[in-house]
Amino acid sequence: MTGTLSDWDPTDLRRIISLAGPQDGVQILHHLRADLESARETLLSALAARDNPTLRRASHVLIALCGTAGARSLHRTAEEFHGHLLQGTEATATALADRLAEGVLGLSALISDELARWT
Amino acid sequence: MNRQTTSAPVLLVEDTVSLRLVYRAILTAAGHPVDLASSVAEGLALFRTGRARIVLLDLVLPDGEGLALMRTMLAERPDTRVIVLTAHGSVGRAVEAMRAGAHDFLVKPVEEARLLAALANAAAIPVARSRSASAPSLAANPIAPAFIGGSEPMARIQAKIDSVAKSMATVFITGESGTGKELAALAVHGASPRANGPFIALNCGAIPQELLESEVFGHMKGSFTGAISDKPGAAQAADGGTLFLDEICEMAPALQTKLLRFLQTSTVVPVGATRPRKVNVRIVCATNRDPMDAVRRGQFREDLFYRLFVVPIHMPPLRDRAEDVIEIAETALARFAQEEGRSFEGLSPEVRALFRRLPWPGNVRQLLNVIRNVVVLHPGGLVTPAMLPEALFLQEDLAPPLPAAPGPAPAAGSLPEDLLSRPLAQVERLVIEAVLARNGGSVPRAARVLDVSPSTLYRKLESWGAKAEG
Repeated sequence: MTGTLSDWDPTDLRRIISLAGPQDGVQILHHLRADLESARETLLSALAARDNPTLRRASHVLIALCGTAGARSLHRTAEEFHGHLLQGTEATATALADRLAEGVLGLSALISDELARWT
Repeated sequence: MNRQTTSAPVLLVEDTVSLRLVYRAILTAAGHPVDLASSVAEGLALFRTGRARIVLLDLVLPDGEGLALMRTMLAERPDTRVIVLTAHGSVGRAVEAMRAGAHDFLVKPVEEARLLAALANAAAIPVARSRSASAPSLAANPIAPAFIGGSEPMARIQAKIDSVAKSMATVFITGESGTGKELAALAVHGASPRANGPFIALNCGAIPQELLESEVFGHMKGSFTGAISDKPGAAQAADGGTLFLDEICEMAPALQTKLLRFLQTSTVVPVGATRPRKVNVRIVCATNRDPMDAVRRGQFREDLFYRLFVVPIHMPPLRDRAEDVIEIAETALARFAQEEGRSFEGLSPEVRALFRRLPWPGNVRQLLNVIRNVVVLHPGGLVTPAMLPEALFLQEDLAPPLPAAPGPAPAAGSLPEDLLSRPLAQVERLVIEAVLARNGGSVPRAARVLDVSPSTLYRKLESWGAKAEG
């Protein structure tokens, strides 16, 4: 587990899965993984293109997804990234984006493991 | 957790599929039917064909602005309650939405407890509506009467309130000053079958003891000098509702006896009256002291204590409420900014880190005061440490120490040659960075060493684009 995922706590996510029931719960996990991967791809391509509005949108989505998934440190990284985008501190934002992208990859893997628990 | 069934569905407009499904799961489990939409077009179509009175609306949608959709909805059905969903850093947009008529806003990730609380508010659970204007009361809480924050301690409190509210049981709320004891009392009242009755709050510590009996039980004309007419007391004014007695441990022993009699008989005898009057009142009381300690010291009657201490609720201090501090700060920032006509973008990462670290001895009240101070003294933008009141940084001494960060230590003794060949501005920066490194990145500690104010250092760090640790 990477540093940003060491405090991953799936308690709330599992509660939502149990609220949704097994079938819908699995759907949530499937879509959560897909949304994380899609937001990561958007992040990386917007970073390469220096497309700030898209980066901001991607960071918005990642803040919500990482928080919902219980990845607390990664959620904070996404918030920090968003903050630096707003402040225009580009070097820090880029460094954070790399850390964020790597963390999202790890989180996707954790969600896959979680899916395996429920299927 | 509130579990209620509304006949009209909640319309949820959110384009991220997994989030849409997560919110639907929470709402459905709580008994709310849900209509789902993923775009402005779909949302508007469902709004027009459906009966939704409450709309959960993401502000960023693929085919347009959530704000524009909200305006259309409110123009067509003004009684619609729109709760906007926004991300951290977009609080400014949430404020814009509030100005445009949104009922509330939620910052993502949206926690289950907060989502359901917002929905309960929007569904017009009559919390605090019945507060008597003439009754003595604490200063009104500037935040709407619902708990903000989905931390585990607050979720437990909310669950306890939900279960106790339906009964007549006396509730005894303890907690430090500023933790929201009156808010908890209001929540008990608001979720109870007495919600349409009066909520009367009386601060036993703020009223002179010689007047307190008259305030609680009322008086008859001529019963003492200055009693120029009959006056009903708080207990009578709360008939059919809830009487909240704050700082109950400050009540004089003689009055404690009368309160005990009132609890035992449900009758009040106004000062100067000869006949008791029957009242139907639920008692909620609170103290920021340890009530058992007051009993042990003989300051509070033991029999009264046991009569009151039926369902205890302990309000946690803000420092134990994890991320709630950020959620409360962001919510307050948006609301105060709206009141003051300012536009703020949210809290900078440094401010968030500082807020998480501070011990907040004055709890939520202190946090609200800090945010109010920022909003009043600054025109807007992102809230940075330099905008915070300086007194706040002194509290860092009370916070847990930071781990020492690795970094170059400043040269001791004679000045190095390298330093002597640099411009003064560069020397200043090198020295400040070295002192910061030596103090684990703590700006307040470094400021003390350098004998300047923390805000001076923050301003310098911001001008260099450096990342301060708070």
